[in-house]
Amino acid sequence: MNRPVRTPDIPSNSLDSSNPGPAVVVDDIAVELSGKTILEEVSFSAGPRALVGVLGPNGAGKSTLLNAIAGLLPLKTGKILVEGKPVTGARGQVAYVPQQERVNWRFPATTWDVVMMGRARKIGWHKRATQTDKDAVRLCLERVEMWNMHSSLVSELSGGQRQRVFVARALAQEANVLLLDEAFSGVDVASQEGLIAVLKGLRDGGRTILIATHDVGTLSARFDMAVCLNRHVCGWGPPEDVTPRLIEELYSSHSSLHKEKDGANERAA
Amino acid sequence: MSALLEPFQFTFMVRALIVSLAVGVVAPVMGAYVVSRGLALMGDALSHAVLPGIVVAVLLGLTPALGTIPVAIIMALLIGYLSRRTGFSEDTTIGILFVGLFALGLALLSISTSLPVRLDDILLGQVLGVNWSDVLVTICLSLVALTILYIFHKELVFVTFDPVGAKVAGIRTGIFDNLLLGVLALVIVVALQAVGIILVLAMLIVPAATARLLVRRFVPSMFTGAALGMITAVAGLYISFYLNLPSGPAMTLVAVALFVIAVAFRGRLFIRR
Repeated sequence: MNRPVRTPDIPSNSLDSSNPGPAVVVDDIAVELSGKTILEEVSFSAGPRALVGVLGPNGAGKSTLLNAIAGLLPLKTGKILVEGKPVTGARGQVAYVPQQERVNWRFPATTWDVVMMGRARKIGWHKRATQTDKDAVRLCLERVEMWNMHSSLVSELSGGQRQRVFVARALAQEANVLLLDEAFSGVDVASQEGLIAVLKGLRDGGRTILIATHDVGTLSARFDMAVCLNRHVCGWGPPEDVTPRLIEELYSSHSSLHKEKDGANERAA
Repeated sequence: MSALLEPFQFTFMVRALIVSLAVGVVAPVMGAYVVSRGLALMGDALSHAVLPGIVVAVLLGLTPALGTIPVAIIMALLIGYLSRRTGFSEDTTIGILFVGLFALGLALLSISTSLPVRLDDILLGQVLGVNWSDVLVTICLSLVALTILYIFHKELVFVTFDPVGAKVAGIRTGIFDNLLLGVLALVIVVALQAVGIILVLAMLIVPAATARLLVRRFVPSMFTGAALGMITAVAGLYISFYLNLPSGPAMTLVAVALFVIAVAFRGRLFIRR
């Protein structure tokens, strides 16, 4: 029996915020939605400065995991730390690029409007944007090479352009951890590469970026690390270790994965 | 010229003009959200559901707005509660509360025979019959609604466009969703006087939709909507005065006519969609 993916230990000192530990620590979480267990025994740690693919078939709980990291869902068990602090969902610790279907495209927002939304919390309730905020919006749009379209309606942009705008919004929020839900769906291959290049630049700037995707085909060159998810973590580590065999496992039945994982646990113990 | 000014030698026309202008501004500004959030059914339901509130307020000798505001707020909160409790989609629970409260209002109205208002005026709007206290209430509620929309503009826009992203960014989306429904309730109470229960939807969505055909961005569409709303309200008021029509149908016909014109001419202005 060979174990394709290593399962490193979570550093025990990750609660100490003076220590530059992992940007995201997910420690044995379980999530239930309306009585149904969506995730259980999910553990991994990532970053800082990493581009992480969260891979798994549809219904594997990828979005649920990202929502949990964003602090939107109550955890049944376990804990999640972002930059050493428990997530609460109220602090804007992480920035989020939503699935395209979850955005209200009937609303006529321009590229500029969308990125300015990322400043909402910084600006504060019932205050108006200052020159600093406007400069930040421009900078973030230049960073993703979308400044020339700042007055276009986002609903009229292509899939890849939209994703760049949302990444710019995440940057404007000044969070170090970015979550992208199905960032590559509806984005043509050339634009995917452009988007990856932008994200790599952000990673090199010190950010930790988690991208959920069901498209595992061409992943290895893209990510620094892969988390394979199918209700539980089937494995995580460098993408080279995500062999065709594991991918096959990931997309096959749930019970066989349990066996694989139980075996792994025995060896770990 | 005299045909335009003549009506205003009557103070009832001055009062009607003030109320019409207020409705013309505030309804399309709120309408910009109604159109982009798909709240049309909600708006229609709220306007019907406040009928029992109006009847009770009039029975107690109060200005109708005082009865409608609590009913509208209770209705808005009940919709969320019932949807969670029963698992039905929101439009179903909206529909049930809509007919239930409207029927209760109709029943109350037919029991209380001594009521000093006519059902027609409540249903179709009779802006020519407003008194000074109605004018005062209208101005106050309009200012409250516009102030809330102005102060929380940035949050309301974020929550409307991308609720999940807003939540992650640390915005309390539930509060702002309810706030927007509260403002919707206020605006409906204001608009009721001019266009009546049945046609509140006309002032709420028609000028706002027309504006969206003419202007692409959100805030400019609010201003355009307000301009169209004022034109609609004043034109409707004249038609109502000269043709002796209820103000609701008069204003609605003007609003829909402007919409049709905008649809017809838009193709020449933009090459979109």
